[in-house]
Amino acid sequence: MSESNYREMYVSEALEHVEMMNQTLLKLEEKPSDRGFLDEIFRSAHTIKGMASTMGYDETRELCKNIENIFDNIRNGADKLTHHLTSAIFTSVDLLQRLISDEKLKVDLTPYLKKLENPEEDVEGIESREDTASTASVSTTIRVKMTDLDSLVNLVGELLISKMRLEQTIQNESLDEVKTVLQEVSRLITDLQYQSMNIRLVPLDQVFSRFSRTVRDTSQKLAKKVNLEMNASGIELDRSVLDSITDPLLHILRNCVDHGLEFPDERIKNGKSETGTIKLTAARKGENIVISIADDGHGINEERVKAKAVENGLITADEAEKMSHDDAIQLIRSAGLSTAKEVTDVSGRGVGMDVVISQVEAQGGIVKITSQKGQGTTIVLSLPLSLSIIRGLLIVVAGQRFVLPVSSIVSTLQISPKDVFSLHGTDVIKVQGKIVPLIKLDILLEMDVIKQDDEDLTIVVVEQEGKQRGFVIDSFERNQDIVIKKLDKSDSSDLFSNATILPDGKVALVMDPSLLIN
Amino acid sequence: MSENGTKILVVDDASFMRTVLKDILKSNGLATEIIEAADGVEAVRQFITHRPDLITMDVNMPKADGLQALKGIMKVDHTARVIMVTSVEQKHIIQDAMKSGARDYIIKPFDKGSVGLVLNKALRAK
Repeated sequence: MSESNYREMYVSEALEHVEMMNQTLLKLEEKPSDRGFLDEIFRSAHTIKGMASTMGYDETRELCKNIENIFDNIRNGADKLTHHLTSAIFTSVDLLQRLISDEKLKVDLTPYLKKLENPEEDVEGIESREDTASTASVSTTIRVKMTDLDSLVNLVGELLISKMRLEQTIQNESLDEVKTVLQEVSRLITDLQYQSMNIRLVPLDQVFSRFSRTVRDTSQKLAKKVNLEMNASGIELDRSVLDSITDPLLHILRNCVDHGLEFPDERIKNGKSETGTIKLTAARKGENIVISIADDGHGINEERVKAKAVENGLITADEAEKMSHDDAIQLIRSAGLSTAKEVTDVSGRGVGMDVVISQVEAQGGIVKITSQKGQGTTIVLSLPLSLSIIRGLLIVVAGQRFVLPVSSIVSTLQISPKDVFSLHGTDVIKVQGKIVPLIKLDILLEMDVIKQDDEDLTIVVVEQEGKQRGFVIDSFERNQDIVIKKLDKSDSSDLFSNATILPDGKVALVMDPSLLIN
Repeated sequence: MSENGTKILVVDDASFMRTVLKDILKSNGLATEIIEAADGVEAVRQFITHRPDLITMDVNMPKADGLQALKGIMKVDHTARVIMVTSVEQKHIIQDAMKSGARDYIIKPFDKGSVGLVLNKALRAK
């Protein structure tokens, strides 16, 4: 095996242990003398040490040796895991993570080791951790279960046999036989599709577990008391989807602690328990994963959001007056509407909810926000299981076929042109009492229009960023699985970045509703 | 040694360390077949199933540690050739292991030459 392969293996396995150490440390904070946890963390430090010494990474080895010693002492009863010591170990584990990920990183260990020895002293020269979840993107490798790979190889083998059978039967010119083999081939391909997508799946737990640390750090910094309840329900998610939502989730959680939850005294005054609760849960719903972040804090201040929106010219004072509670809450989706009184060190990084939401929507996800004054805020992200194969609706615009992701479609309808009316110069329709602006796709796409005025209109209602739009199309065909092919930079336009190949061999462009709406 | 070559069981909870050791065993021509185990319990099970000619045994592992696995294997077959794998600071464990029937030990980080020497010596002995 080559040096770089060794390094890749080392980084991925060592980072897993770093993650485990973080988790176990958090658990130890609750149960400081649990022998099982102490053994576990000792073993992780020991394992990284062994690997680092094999790779010749002296600093990593030395740091691990010191952490290992501390836990050996705690196990022997010679040392005690105090709050300060835990924090010092966290700092060292963070450094460990940086050392493992960055081969070229040069660090003077002295202050870190000193801090481990005298955790209560202020030691200079210690860099505090940068709070990102970037560990997920450090390594582009995933570990795959042997059994998963085996069944993949098996399937390919079976497919090969079927191919040979097909060649044979074609020579025999028996159409019935060909059909039978073809059925078998299509079953194999479906299996193969699921199996290969399976390989890209990573347990959501891996990301979730990282969040306990963020919430711990944030709540400590702000002197708030927070209990983070997590339940990933054993869900696995495509690696690329997972990577893309880690930062948004991190931001939402930090926001919950910083802006959502009250300080302990305020909570007591409001008759709540001193400790706030954030519930982070995931569940699978059809082809989507639904992640919900719910806090029991003071909720979004509707009046303040409205006032800010008026101040920023987003809505008029009159509109604000008439706005429903739900609509007002949705205003925080807009850029520049962070309502926190002051920008804090914790979540005031210039990243607003608008950025978080657009990051999720860029992945084909949907964000829903609900909030009750005095009771808390719930943010629900709904994401596709995988990005490489999506459910799409085949639509026809000016005689050409396109694909619209089903996840963004609210409804399809047929209406008479008489039901279209004009509002401020825009064509709109009414869908279930809501005013929905129409977008004529053929005109937007600068395609030839051959359409009579009195014909019924076929409309697909699409929702993105909380906004609904009706796309006027010629007709739609059916829902089907669409294999996404990314277009090269040179081929992609402002409106399209993906395409797919249809069963008849023709290429269809995949529409991105958020691009079309804007 | 069995007639059709040398079977070695590599026991370590880190797959990285197993790979490094496997590569050394392959490049030294020490093993014709390599079996792996990631914890002490699996080690004993793999030993019973495969009856390897030699076992390299890491010390710190989940479920059962190297010393426990060593004792387990010795109960099954007291002639088993178990080589302990330790780090420099763990030399005190070696004495315990030797008392329990380990043949020898190798130290992490591995030196290809001495791994070869130790394992060859153990394989030649009865």
